[in-house]
Amino acid sequence: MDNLILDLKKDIVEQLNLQNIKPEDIKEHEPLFIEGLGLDSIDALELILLLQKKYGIKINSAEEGKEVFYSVKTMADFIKANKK
Amino acid sequence: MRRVFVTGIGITSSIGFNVKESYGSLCTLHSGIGAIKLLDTKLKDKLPAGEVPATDTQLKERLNIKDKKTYSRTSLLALLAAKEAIDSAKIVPSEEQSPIGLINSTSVGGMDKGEVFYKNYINGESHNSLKNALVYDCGNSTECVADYIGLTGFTSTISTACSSSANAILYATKLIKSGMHEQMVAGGADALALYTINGFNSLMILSDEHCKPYDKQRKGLNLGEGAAYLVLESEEALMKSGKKPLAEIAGYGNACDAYHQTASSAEGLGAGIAMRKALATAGLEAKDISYINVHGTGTLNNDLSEGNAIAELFGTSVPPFSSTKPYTGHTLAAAGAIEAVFSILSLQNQVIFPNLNFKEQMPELDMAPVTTLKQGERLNHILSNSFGFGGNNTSLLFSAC
Amino acid sequence: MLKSSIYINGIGAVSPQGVGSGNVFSNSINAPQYEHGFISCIEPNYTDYITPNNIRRMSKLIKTSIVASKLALKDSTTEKPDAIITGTGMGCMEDTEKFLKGIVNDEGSPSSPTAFIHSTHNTISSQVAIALNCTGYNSTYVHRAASFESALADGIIQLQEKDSDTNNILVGGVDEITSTIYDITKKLNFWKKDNKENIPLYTSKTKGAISGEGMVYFSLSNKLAKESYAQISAVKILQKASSDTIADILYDFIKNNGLKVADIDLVVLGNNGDVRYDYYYKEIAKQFEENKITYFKELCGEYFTSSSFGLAFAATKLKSNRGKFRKAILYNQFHGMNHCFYLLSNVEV
Repeated sequence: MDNLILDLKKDIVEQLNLQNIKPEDIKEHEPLFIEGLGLDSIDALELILLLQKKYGIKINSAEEGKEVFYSVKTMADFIKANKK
Repeated sequence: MRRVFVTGIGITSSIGFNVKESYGSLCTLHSGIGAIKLLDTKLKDKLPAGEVPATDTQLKERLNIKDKKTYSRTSLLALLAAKEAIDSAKIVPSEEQSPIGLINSTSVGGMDKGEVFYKNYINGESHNSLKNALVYDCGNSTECVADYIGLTGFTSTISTACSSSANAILYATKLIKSGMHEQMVAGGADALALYTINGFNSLMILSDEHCKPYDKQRKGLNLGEGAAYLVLESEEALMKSGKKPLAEIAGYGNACDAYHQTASSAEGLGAGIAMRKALATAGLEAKDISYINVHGTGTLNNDLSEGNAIAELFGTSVPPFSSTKPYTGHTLAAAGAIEAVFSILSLQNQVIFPNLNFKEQMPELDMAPVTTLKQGERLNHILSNSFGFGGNNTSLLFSAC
Repeated sequence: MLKSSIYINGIGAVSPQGVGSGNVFSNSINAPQYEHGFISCIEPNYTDYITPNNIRRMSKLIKTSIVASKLALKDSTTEKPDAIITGTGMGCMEDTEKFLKGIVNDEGSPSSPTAFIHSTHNTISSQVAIALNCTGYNSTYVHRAASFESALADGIIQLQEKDSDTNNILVGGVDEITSTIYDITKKLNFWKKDNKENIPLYTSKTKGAISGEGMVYFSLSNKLAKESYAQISAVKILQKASSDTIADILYDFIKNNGLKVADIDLVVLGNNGDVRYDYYYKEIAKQFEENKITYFKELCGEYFTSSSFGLAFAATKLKSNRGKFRKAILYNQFHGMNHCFYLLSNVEV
């Protein structure tokens, strides 16, 4: 699980091209959207893309994505539960 | 200020190759949205769209084009609609009369050919495909229309996503009011392309069902393709020719949401400003509006945002409104002009076309669209909304003559 | 002749000559260095103008356009414009290619929404509006080598409207060059086959131009300001013209503005070294004394909205020669199309 959390942090920084933020700066329980990292709806779509391309998990709508992407931890839990 | 009138209209979309066919479809509630048959996309079985039921070859046959030049599909759709518009205005461009200008618009231009070229290019086989690269840019379809029709006045191309052709009509109106021209052709065209369908799919705003604008259960939009043009003339030009106009462009408004690249602000700030500007330029008040042809794409965001803006402007007296996108799909740059033509048909025939597929009112709004073909109440002034990505919002106000 | 006066009150540029305002054009020197066959912009330190969180998604064209627009506003000491109008010949090609690459390789599969949304032509003007928090009129023109002029004509009409509260408008001409677009347009014979640096461009006898890029925004107003650069007195745009008649068109343009050829003190021409089309400029140049004529394309390269660089160049020359240069003409065309004439007047402040 720790490796997955670390990988996800690296993926987020890379996929979203975050500037001046290192993976270790992201706290796993910290909200990703609005507060915390302050990501937006385009970032949510990029994360949906990441989940599909890297982990083979499909999210069907942006609304479904909202709960999954609350934090790095919720993302990791979702991947663990759904990875084929 | 000079008054500007519409004397000709032309349209091609999934519900008809011309005005007569389109009007017939509108009145018989016949939608052009269905399974994609011509565009070779892997998404064809997933996502319905409003495809014009003619191959490029068939479009060329309709246009009687026999030369071997490469035409983008966008250009072919544009030529059909522009030709109908100029013919219906009974104008034959010639050297004897003053030059007629053209404001065209498109969002992807010749991308249907551009993406073919690019595939060849990255496979190292671009040599025979360069003719496709030459028709890629937005200005190309404008040049094609100007040459085909014989328009020699001021020519330009606008690209503001879904409000493009509404802005083209707005700009052409201003050019006539400024005295630069007496007659202008204005409108736009967009053909379906892999770029567009994959692009909108990446934004997750396409519905796998027929779209339901303003419905609680709406899931997104359906793409469409098409073209439409208006011929605009000054009051002075009309007096000289004695022509009877189809409608007046009484008002217009353009405002930017300045909120986000893909989403409109929840309260529809830019939309509200655009509608208010249209009323102000027309010297009218909200209560004077007989009907709104809403942008109504069927996305969660647009319909709520636009609905809020309408509620804010009209208060408890929201006029009858409907989205005609369930008929044609969202034709992107062409939408503003297509819906302008529909608004003019509404004024000419005193009929409101219904918002197809609507079943359940949105809980956030205290209004529901018209759902049947409606006649009876006098239609004097129609507001037509077109709101694009990036917050490019435009409203046009058409008045009966 | 324009109905009422239009003033260039501010200039903002990201260009191969540097980043800034009038200083970029008054300090412009010989042909800049270029690699890969095309002239590239000198880029600013973006974080001086845009937050890191916003920069992360933006292509060069979007970032540089935002910088140029902010510089133009600052130069004219306008807080917020009433409208933002942008002309771009090709739009955001970096993101277009990114998205295309994704779908060509794997059509129908999930693809990057960022690249798609950033490839739309109007994203530039929209993102400038978001950066400046401006809800005024906003439009984008994509009409080849008359894209900038189309945007300018729209801006001029609005500034001249009676009883309008539109007094300050940002109008921009922006285009980027990428390696791919350079390569493709080279196959279309746009550019010189031989990329020798510092070639004498204006006397070139070979086909093709030198490719470039640039982002220039103007803060225009219907009110004269202390630091106004110049007045735009007239603009004429022609889709097509023959070289036989281009001199007559020039004469009519000057005459219709109540002037004679001798009244023109400065002539700025858009020669790009393409022997197939530079003869248009020759016909124009013949009408003036040689010492009045100057060129600009060696400074920025050729691109669809390069006339915006030319306009800034001409306006800056007028400002730094008040009392000496009264009137200037700028003429530009591309491949025998999109002919644009400007008449500029110096201002008394």
